Amino acid sequence: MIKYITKRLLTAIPLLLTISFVCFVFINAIPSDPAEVALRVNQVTVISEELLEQTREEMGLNDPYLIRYFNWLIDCLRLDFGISYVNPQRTVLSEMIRGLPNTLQLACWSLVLVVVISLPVGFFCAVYKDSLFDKIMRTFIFMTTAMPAYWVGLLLMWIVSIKLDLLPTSGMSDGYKSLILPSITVALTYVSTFIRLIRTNMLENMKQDYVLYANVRGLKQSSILAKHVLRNSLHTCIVAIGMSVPQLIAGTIVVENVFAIPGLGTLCIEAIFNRDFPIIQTYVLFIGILFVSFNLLFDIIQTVIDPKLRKEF
Amino acid sequence: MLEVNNLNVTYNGKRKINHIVRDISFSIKEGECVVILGESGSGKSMTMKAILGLLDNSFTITGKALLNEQNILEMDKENLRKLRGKDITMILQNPMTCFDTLYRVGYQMKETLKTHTNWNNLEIHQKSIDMLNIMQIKSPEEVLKKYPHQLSGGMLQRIMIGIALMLNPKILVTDEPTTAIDAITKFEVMKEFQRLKDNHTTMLFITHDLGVASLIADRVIVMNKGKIVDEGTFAQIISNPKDNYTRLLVEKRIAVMNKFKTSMEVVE
Repeated sequence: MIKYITKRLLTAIPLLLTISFVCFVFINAIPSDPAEVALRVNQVTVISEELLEQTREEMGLNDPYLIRYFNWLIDCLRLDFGISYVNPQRTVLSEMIRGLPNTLQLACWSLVLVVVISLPVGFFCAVYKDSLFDKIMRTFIFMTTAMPAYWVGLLLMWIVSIKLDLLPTSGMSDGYKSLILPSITVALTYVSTFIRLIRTNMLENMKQDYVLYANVRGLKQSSILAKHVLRNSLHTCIVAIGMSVPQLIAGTIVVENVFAIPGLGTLCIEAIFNRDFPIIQTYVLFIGILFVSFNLLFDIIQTVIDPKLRKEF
Repeated sequence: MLEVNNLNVTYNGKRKINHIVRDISFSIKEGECVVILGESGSGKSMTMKAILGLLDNSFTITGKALLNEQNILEMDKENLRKLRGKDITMILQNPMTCFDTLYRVGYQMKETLKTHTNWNNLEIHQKSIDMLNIMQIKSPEEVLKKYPHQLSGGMLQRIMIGIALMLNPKILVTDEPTTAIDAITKFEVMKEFQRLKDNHTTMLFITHDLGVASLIADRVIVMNKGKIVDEGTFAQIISNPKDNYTRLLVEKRIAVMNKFKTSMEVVE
């Protein structure tokens, strides 16, 4: 078991390096001179060729590609992600830390909603397959899958905040109230995916021999469904649920902008408009690392909880 | 003991209605071992699943199945569930997939017993150990702590038989219990069934294997395409098949046996 975990942790290292390299290469491929951006942001009115050259030298842009990559990587490992081009008095790290709590709050509430809604709905859809409830839910899933998050956000804002005047339209000024609509918007996309996942998985499990045998033994329906069918289905879904956490954090990018929440997503979009490379680079790297680590974490969790996998290592 | 009258099972598919079992009537006396013989798809398993109430709503079942003068086809789900496992139980074909892989074998035995009895944990543990000993499973304490995938098919099959017997069922139904296991285990499991037969356990044995039927049958019922085509003792079926299908089955079997014999002679 420990051998397996060590192996998995070690294989994650080359993966993380690749991510950082690809991230570096792509950001540098953007056709815009970082030195020029930096000068413009610092409100230098006359940008001469010499000044540009001097700035490039100062920013280390004249070094060979790989050297620049390694310098950046080593800085990153020391959690020094550089200075924002737009706000030179702020480091990238402080900008990220400022935005992170809002994004995490949003992602957490969305995750809670996803689990609380999709688990029982998926369960009952499978148990009462083809009933009226199941049919209504299937239509609902069909509709929500086809609705993009930004549109759902605007729709909710229009109905709930403007027409009914129940909740604030945007911003973070009203505490938990201002997170209700954004969380629903983010959750909606995942709710339909998970209802479908749990429903199909449970129906698949119900056809298995072990359910027939449980029935033959005369076990109670409730115990067969909850203890055996649901637990087995969740085992299959656990990785998908785990992977939805980084997806939720990354997925807030659109919704944060719709609801004007000052989180990581808004920070990233602003950085893209301002060509604030250090921030974009760090954001992409952060999301990449998040995906790799959650994938790793839930792979290990699955191995630990599944008796069949557990014994093999 | 069990009397089945005019049993019909139809599958109501979306496009067509399929008659799986047509007008079946048979009975089984206490202490008797009846073998239902037939190819796959002949409706033998379906007959038993219908009687035990294991089919879902897409099947329509008509007729009567009297267990001690009580029609179990008309029972409500909850009462039928209480009957299953306790009064009438079944041993299934593939022991490797019949247990839930997430729970230890001991737990799965325990949950069965808890459902049907009011024994406490200590009693359940002791009786489980006793039963595993009867089933000739070595180091039963260890086996109870194992997960299903850590045990062999033969062992799981014997555990399944053990679970079935612990509740003293009136009728034991076995659905092709020897198909999914290898020849050596098959031999051991069959010995187990012969022992049960000698103890006068009422058994309904479903199989397509004439060899298995010859070992255990008091009476044989031959099924083909959802109907009973022949009935009698094993000797009667072999020597004097009334129906064309039975004749075919017997001839095929003899042909296979002869081929086997000649091939063995060649080897020798």
